[in-house]
Amino acid sequence: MARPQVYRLALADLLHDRLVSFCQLALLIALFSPLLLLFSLKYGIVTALLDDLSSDPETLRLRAIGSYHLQEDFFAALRARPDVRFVIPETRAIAAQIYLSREPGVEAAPPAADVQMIATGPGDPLGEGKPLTDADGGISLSAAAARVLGVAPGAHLLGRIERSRAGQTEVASIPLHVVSVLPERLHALVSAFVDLPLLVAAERYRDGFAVPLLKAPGDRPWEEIKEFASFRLYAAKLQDVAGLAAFVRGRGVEVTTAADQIESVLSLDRNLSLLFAAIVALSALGFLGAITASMVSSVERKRRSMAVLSLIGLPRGAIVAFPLVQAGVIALLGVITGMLVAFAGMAAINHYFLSMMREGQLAARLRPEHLAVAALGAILLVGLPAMVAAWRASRVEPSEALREI
Amino acid sequence: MPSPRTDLLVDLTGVQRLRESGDGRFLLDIRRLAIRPGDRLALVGDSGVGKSTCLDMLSLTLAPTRWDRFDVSFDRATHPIGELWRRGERSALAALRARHIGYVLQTGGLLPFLSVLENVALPLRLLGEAPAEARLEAEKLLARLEMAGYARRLPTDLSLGQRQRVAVARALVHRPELVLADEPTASLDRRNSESVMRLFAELLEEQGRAALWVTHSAELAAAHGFTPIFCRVRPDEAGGSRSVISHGIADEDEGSA
Repeated sequence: MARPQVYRLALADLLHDRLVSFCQLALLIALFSPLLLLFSLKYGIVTALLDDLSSDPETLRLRAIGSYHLQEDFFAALRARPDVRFVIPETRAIAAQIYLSREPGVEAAPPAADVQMIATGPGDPLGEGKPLTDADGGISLSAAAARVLGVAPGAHLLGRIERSRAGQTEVASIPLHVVSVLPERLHALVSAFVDLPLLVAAERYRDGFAVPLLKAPGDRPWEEIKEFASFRLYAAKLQDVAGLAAFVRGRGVEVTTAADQIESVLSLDRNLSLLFAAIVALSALGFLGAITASMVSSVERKRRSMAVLSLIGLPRGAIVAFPLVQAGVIALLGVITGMLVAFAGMAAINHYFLSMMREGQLAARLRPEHLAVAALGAILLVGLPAMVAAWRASRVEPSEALREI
Repeated sequence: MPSPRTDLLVDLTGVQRLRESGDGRFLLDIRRLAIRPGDRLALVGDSGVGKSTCLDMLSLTLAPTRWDRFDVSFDRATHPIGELWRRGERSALAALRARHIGYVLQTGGLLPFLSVLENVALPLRLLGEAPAEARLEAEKLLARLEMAGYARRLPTDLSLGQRQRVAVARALVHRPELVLADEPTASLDRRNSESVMRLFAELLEEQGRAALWVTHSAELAAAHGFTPIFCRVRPDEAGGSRSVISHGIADEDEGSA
């Protein structure tokens, strides 16, 4: 019977002592809202920066410097790593040229260009989820290549590869069509993204081999390439770049990465987190001092009332619960109101920074788990002083009601 | 030790409370205190003679230092209070206190965050009475104490005399067998004092409750039908002071009476 009574009595007292209750509530909101807002800003901006970096596959790329003799085991090891998003061998750059022209039609001299072939395959980050080739001679062009050739997806092209054999220039042709055109931001050079076999065929053709794919005879019979000169390699996440680079270097392949650029954002995140932690710690200490003083003095002021309650039958456990119930209500109201205030602040910040952010990005943002941790922290920050207050309340003796102090 | 007396509400023999402080040594020595149902007693004495200490022990909030017999009989069951203290059964003491004892404190001791009606109904609510019944009982008592019009007010809106009437209502609402009043008129003027005590005495009479009233004034007590018990302080052998309370005939005499 005492349990519902203690809720009723504690709430009645909280309402009656509304000025002090309001001060405690305001104190909590004054701590909770700005910290939540500050964190949302830190998280939002760092997330946006990381998002910017992540959305540019170039940031995740590890570029090999020079030419190597990389065999299948090297690529198999890379493919097995969880920190690798995409890897594909590359042939010698000099052998990767192809002369593309629009398929002859009504035009006498359709636009044509020497284009660098780049191997692609399923999961290529540059495809942004879409395949860049198809099994039917489909390739993708960079925006620059498409511009030079004056083509769009669906256009038919003729690819020509030249070689010198026995003092004669030979040309192999292959019909191709455009599957897609990569945006400029993904690739700025004049390039064509092709299946690896075409690239291999081009290199073998130039090396004088017979190449079935190009229907070309040669000095030597067709033979698969056992060693590749280079690769196109992307890490799974920004945080993986440095580790993956170390692995590749460990295999004797020197690479360049955007690790410095990534590290500067990650370091900004770490430093801001540290700063935020320091602000939280200082604010929490100040809050703890103030709320403890307020709650304990509140118990002291109400000592006589508690003693009277104890004298007329409220059990000691219920007396102890009195400040805890009140703290629970303050924490609940403080967290809800604090969140609403923080959300309002976030909306204002996001509105203000709208023009500076990319689509889908927010300057201030929070995840549900952030709110949960913040609420838990606030409850803890109110709960600890409430326990001190409850301990003080547990020392109230019913006989104090009989004493006029 | 003679067997417990269920005809006595309070049965104290050789109960002592020793207080040693910087001011010296003080012993409250209750040689005999017997309270029967319906008794109206007034503990009379100057400040510092141990009246409040006696009240604390009777209200089961202060443990005696030693005792020969410290029994109370409520609902025809005898409770060995000395033993309960010795065994540290505070919750049993609290339960007895809540159900069977009513208190009128010096300045009312009303809870400032509850209305007059809620204050009066509170002991019943704490005993598990339904809200509607508790309110009805409280309203009846407030009407009897000429306070019906103040039921919705907060205690801070009332005069001291009005607060004491509410305190009397709260002390009696759950029909306790023993009512303890700690100088309830000390802060009232004569007119209010008379009025509160008159109503208090009338209600005790109507309900047939026993009461112990702590006061400085034997005349005021006698005027309202309270039998005075005098607390007197005298130096003791150990160089401190001793206050002796003795009321009621000895066990042997009572047994043969």
